[in-house]
Amino acid sequence: MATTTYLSNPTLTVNSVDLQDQCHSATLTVKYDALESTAFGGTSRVYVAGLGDHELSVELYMSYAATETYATLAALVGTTTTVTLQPTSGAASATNPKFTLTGTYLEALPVIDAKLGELSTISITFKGGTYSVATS
Amino acid sequence: MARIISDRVGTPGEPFDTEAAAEAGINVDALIQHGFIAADGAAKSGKKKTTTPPDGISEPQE
Repeated sequence: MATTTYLSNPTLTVNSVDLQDQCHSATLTVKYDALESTAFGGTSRVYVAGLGDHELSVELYMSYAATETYATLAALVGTTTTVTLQPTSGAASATNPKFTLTGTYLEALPVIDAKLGELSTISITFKGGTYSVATS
Repeated sequence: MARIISDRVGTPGEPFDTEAAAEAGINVDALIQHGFIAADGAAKSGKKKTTTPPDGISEPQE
């Protein structure tokens, strides 16, 4: 039976800071470079995993208030940090895995992205780092 | 060791293990710089002034 999960309550931490209430979109992509290992005698191309190249893209509401979005991210541009993402709040479990990127790099931060009559939002991407999943 | 200030990091007032956090890849300096946590030493320093004003500038009397 096909199922659809509507992630209305995922938790996001950036550098240990809970930004759940400022986040409205998050995509964590786990990716490994595909290294071709096809050899003579093969009839199809085959690959093995190379280096991991993971990414977390998030869209956040921008806020310049104390301990909000800007304060969390301003000092992280051009550095590495740790980010976590969980489908729902609560303890990590097999049905609520906690995804972590450790040592992930924040390359760019749009410090202002404003349109008249709209809430200011920013899109940022954390690149690389070590991927892990906790289920307990 | 540091002390949590913002509830975005945990329970305010609770200790924050900076060494463990750093080992987990957390940028502790960024947390201190933007007021999420306070180093225990800094939190105890209060309002004590350690700098001397330049010549010709008088300090306001409290």
